[in-house]
Amino acid sequence: MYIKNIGLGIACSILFATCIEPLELEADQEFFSLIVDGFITNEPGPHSIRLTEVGNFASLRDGGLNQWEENAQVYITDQDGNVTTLIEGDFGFYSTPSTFKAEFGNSYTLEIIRSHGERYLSNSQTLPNEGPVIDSLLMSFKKLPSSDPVAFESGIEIFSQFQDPAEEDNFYLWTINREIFQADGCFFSQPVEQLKTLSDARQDGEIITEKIMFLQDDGRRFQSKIYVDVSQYSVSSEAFEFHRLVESQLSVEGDIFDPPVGIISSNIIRDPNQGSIPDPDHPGETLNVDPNDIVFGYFGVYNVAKKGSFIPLEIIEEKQRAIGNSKPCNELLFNLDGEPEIFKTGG
Amino acid sequence: MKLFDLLILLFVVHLSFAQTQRMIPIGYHSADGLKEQAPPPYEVSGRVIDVATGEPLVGANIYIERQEIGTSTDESGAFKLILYTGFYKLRVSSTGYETDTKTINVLGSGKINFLLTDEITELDEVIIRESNTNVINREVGKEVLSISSIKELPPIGGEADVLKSLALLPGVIIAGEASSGFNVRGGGADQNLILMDGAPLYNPSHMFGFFSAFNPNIIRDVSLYKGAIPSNYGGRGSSVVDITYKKGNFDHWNGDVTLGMVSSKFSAGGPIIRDKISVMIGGRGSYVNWLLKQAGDADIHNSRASFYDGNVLLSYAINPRNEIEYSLYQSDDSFRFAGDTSYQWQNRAQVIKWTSTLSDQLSVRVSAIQSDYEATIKDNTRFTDFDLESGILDNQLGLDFTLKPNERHTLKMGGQMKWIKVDPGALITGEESTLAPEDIMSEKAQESGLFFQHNFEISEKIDISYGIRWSNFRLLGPNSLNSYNPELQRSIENKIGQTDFSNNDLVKKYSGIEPRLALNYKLNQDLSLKAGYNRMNQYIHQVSNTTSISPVDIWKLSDPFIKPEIIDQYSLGLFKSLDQGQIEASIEGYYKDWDNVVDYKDGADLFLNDHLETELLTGDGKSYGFEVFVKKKDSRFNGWVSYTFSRSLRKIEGPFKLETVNRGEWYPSNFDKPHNFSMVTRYRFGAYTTMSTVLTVSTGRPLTTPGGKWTYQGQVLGAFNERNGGRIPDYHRLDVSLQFKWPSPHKLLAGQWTLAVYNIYGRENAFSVFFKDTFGAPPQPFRVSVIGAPFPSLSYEITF
Repeated sequence: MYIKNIGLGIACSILFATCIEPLELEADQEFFSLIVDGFITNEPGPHSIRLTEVGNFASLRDGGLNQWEENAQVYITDQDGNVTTLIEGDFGFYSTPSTFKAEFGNSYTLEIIRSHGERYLSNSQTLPNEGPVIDSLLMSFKKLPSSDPVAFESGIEIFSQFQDPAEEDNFYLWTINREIFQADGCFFSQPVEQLKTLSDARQDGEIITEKIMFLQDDGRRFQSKIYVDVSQYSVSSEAFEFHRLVESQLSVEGDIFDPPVGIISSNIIRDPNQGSIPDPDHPGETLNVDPNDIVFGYFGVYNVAKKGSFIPLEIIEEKQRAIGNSKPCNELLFNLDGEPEIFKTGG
Repeated sequence: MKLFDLLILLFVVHLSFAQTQRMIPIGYHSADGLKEQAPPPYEVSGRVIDVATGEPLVGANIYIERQEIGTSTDESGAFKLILYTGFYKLRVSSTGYETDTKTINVLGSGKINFLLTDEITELDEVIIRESNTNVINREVGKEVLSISSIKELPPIGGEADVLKSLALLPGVIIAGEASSGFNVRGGGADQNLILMDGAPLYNPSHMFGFFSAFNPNIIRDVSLYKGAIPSNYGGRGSSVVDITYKKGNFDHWNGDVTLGMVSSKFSAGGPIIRDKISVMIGGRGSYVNWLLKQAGDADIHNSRASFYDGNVLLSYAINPRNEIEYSLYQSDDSFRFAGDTSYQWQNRAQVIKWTSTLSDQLSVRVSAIQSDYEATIKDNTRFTDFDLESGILDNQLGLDFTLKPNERHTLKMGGQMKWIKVDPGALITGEESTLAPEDIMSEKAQESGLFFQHNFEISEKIDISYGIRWSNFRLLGPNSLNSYNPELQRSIENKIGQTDFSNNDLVKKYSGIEPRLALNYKLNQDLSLKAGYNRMNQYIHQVSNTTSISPVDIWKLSDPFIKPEIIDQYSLGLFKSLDQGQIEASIEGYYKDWDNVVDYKDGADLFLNDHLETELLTGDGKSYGFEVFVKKKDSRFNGWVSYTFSRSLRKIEGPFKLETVNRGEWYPSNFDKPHNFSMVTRYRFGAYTTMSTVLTVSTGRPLTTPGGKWTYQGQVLGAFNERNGGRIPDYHRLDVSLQFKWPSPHKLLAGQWTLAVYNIYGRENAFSVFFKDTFGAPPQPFRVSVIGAPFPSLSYEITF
């Protein structure tokens, strides 16, 4: 929350001739660990877990792709031993059946067996108690500081307002599922890759109004109509801690008082009891399990509350100049075929 | 060259001639002839004093040429020599002052004082031959920088910087430009005890470290103890920086004014009641906003910054044997970011001390000290607006005795009692804010220390200084102590209870014996071997995972979870004087061993945290290295070269994975910079112009670098798996300054211009490196350079 403000504020100590430039730097020893990205919720599925590998710190063209994991076996097991098998899809996505959803009081464990036989296990994750619903999404126009009286950056801040349950530790995670907007006669539905966390430690039992997103006016999305779809997850303290570190790392922008980046521990480990696996390069031989094999990512079990809202464009005090587009709609990224239902019904 | 030699010869002849014409008898029989003179040897004592200010000069060298013996002045500017009857030529020198030579005829015990004047440019063609001070100096691990030598270094923004000047000495490094924190022999920034006239300062910086908190115009000198620290100092593990004020002259007024680009300052001192009460005042204020408005970056363009500081020193000479001094230091910083956040912090340090000379051998000093540091962060973000106030209040009483029974012995003993209160923070929320007000419980403690120190000249060849300090720390209530399940890692989820303590209840007690030792063995007149040892216990810790001191830093007292840091240091060095004292050279090695060094969990949340112990880790530390130092003391061309090899390592191996760093192996601390080189040169052109250069080169500091990237929820992150496994690029920088004094009879025009260029070749040194996935480019490292371009400044100083 305000940690970020402090970080930004202290950044101003770069007073005189500060510059930020790309740097050639020898990376730490390369490794190709497993990445687990996904969670299940109390809503009906399908829920997806994506498995990829750590990639080079380079562009896609230079081999910087996070290669997805194929032919893995992925299972979710509850505390009663009920096993749900996830079905492999494209690009490393493994999905539960559409009927699957997390149940209150249940705990779940993720098991992954990679194509070469390495076995990974998450620790047990319990679905948190039912979380608060979002009472309303508040919007506020924000003009960013500028040294130029004419050119400036601006956008809409989105706040989630909800009643925090009293006398219990609650941890929240927000994502925007999608934004739907109309620009230049085309309709778009695109993901918004922002992530926000909050602990209620200092607001326990209060009506909380928390800034969760900032949508910058890019000259397109605020042209005529825009709808945002927000998910508010109630998560465990461990999941909160993981996402807080992710959020912290994403916020590093070169402040001279930036804290050193941290190692973000996963809740998934290599099965220490596995012993050895067949050596894929030498048939008939085995490889010992490396207990220090690091896994990145997190398997979460969350309670979700969703809310969507149109952004009232009249609150935009100063609009950015619209960016025109000469291409046909169907050649544009995230284009929708026709007017979305939500625009027709008005939400 | 022959002309040069001739000039030297003429000077020496002139000096000899002049001195033989003024023979000063010492210890002659009194007029009534009744006083019987004791048999030789005789004690010749006296003081060395700044003629302009009347201040005693500490560390001035008294040297007798023919006999090749010498000594140096103590803290009160006093010296003693044991001499037999006869003629002696005494030469007295001190950095930044003209050398004075007197010939004395010793007939018995007696006194002689030396009044030194500021070194001025008329010395143009004269070589000053100082004594071999590094060889005869008894103190081990101590460096003294006079303010005149600090002011000759190229300033940043026109401001001579006391603390950054220290970083040019061997064994001292700084993290980067925007940092007042410095590291001594591998220690943390919080392990430096920074004393302003004896009062500790908790944030010795202005504007987040661009300027240090000290007005150089009011400072007499700066002493850095980095090894064999005398037992009258305690409480911090690595070093002591003792900054002393100039004293107001008891006879006449003088002062100076300096006008700079981003700040101006002044100092003035003189008698309030002649020969009875003197005052020294100083002030400094900034006007940096015009510079901020030039910035292209919107955030900086719309930011506002200011600082000021002021000093007062009142001296009351009750009689020749008793003096009372009161000093006040007050500073204020204010910074408003372009957005919604502003920062303010204040230091106030007050010292009152009474010094009484009970006899020729015994003196006593009683002191009362208060240091008050407060920091406020204001955030006006809608719905989450707040004020966060934090601070430290440090009150101390001290009593110490100095006994000098004779020339060969000096004994110091005494004690200090400190009451310290740390307020981690109170969150005061605004009317619209949805944040709940919160007040993290203060910590308070009593820390006391008793010390004994004996400096003993065993023989002409051997000096020993040994001491012992007993420190005692009592953490007192009110306090709430959390307890955790010992079977699980320490975290808020594993808290199993809480114990509450009432006001002044004892929460936890620690004590320790801290031996100190310094040994100087003169192998011959030009070569000495020095060894040192000290143990330091530190009961207060700076809890910050940034590299610089800032208002968001938190100070934490030792408690049952965070035990005192115990640091043992061993040092051994060889000190050589060459070319009749013209060149000093030394090589010194050291090894440090730490217990209970404090580090942080990955991504520790330290802010307004009432269970801070869950975010901190403790372990072992060690540092080792060697320092090579060569100094040339010629008046026309002088300077020094310093090289330090230094490693600073830590090892944290807890019972749980999250309480272990790098699998429990040794890893570099955040300020581990193995190679550090600096070269300082000063050259006088004629009578009025001096050019100075400073070159610094060092290894980049450690950095946690990613071995790849991973994507999570559509966002790209660095895959970090080894703390401090990499390094930022090496650091190097050249600063140049030109000082010019206009030869005008009018005081206003006869000031000194200083034109300086910091980072003259515009090296873009990386202050930090971060990894980012930016649109249109692959994820890659970026370098933040704080002053990545030549930064010129101009200032003008006049004295009156």
